[in-house]
Amino acid sequence: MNSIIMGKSMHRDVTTDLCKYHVLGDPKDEPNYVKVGFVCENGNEVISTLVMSAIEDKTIKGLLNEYARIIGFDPKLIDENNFTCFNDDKVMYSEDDYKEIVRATSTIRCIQNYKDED
Amino acid sequence: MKIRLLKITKIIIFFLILIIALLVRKRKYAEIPIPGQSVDEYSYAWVGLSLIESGMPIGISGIDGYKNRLPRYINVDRFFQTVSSGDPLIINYPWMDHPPLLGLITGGFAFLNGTRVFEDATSYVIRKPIIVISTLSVALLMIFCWINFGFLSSVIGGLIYSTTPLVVLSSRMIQAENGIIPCFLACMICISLYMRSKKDVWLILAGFSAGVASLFKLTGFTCHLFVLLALLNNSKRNGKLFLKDFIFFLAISLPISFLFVIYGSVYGINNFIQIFFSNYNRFYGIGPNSIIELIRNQRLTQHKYLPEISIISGWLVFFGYVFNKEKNRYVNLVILGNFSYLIIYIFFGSQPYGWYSFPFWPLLSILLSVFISDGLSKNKNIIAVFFSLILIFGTNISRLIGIFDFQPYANIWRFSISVLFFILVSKLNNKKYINFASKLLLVLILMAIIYTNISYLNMINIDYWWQNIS
Repeated sequence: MNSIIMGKSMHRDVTTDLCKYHVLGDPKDEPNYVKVGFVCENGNEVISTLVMSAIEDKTIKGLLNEYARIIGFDPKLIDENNFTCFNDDKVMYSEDDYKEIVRATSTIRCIQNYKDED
Repeated sequence: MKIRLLKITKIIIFFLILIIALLVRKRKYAEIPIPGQSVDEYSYAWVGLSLIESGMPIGISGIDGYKNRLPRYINVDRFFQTVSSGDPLIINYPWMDHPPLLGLITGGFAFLNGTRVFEDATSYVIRKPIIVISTLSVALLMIFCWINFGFLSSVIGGLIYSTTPLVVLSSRMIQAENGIIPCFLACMICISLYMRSKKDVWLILAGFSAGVASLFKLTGFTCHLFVLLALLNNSKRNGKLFLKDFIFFLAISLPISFLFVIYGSVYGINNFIQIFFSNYNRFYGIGPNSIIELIRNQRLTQHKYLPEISIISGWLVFFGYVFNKEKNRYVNLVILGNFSYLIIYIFFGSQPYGWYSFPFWPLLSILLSVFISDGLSKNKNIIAVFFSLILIFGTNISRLIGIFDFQPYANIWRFSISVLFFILVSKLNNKKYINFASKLLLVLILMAIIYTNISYLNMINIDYWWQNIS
């Protein structure tokens, strides 16, 4: 049943620009959301608010995969296009960082070609 | 030979109007109305698709009473990048809001076209069958008019119903009402033929149409109510005759309608009853002012208004016929049809979604066409006929060109309309040549209305929709 509901479209356009689309609007379920944002090298920036209860895999990796499915891009592009992701202000480097459970109201933000000036 | 040629010409005109109806419905059908402004459209198709694929009807419901509730992001037609409010879609199963016939048609069509997941049930695919069904409605409307009021009325009714912008846009939407309309019209055709011939076959077919209508949505019971009123009206106080006919009709229609209960009980009768009563207890959003809203504010969705003067004129004609004691028995049939749906509309209530009022529109178009054709052929109510046509024509012009662009034509407009009304009111048109000229003018205005209807439809694109249709 889940494959019919959540299955990937064969016909929908797939994008390679992670800053092209975002999820419109703000959900009413206020305390139970998470924000996902992308900042691209060309200066474009998008931010989306997703409801936690609609995300099955509640790890950060699961959230990013689900976001990629919704928007229509290959999640591998996050690594391949050199995005560095932050869980609120904490930079995520290791696989273990991505296995963490997403905390409600947190912001997962990925910046392309990020340079740590420290 | 001459009669045969005339028949062939009439049939060609009939099909030409159907081609016009199909073409205007097909143009930009996947873009306008904007997909996702009514998520019901997807829900119907998903119900059918999931029922075919997994045996479980899965859809979106706005009502309480469902145990299984899944919030999910299904980005069909890039819904979450165009019209979404930000909330995920709430998926419910087993979906029992309405009977599954419309879902099986749209979802089944999508399945046959290779759709296997919800995200692929795009408006480009799922709206196709509804366009065919809506064109069938135009054909049935024309047949009803042809049988009962003559060919002229059929042509006028067909042209008005096939090109009126609000009707065309509504005809592209996957809403159960678009399935009920052809069944209702078929039922009305059968009852009118039964009244003429007294042949049982027409009552059987009316029962079948009514049964199928209720498999689209329970408001399809308007057909049962219509047949009850029509037979009562026709029986001339012969209670036995009425009972015999009506029981015979119910013996055909009710077993078909009952299929929904059997279908619902397969997924648990308690669940079915719970959802049924949740549906019944919905917020009565149409409110006590629902009738005046029906007449003055036509909508496509809950918040998209497109007031349509053809429909408003249809309501005015409806009231005129209600007050007129010497009306044709088939006009009476249309009035009973309109009252049947009005009773259902008021009783079922719920939110003031535009699609709840769709079934009024073919009936009002029929009344308007009879009114105009009587004016043309019998000189009946000629002033009122001119009045309604000028109302529609004037509104159509103002939709196409703004008030400033209209100024160069203002003198033509004010002189011609003033002179026209002067001639009509002073009864100068009783003279033969003026009478002919006024009828010719009527035909020209009617043609101009059809032309401006189509021009307006061609003008509506996504930008126009967002900026001008509020």
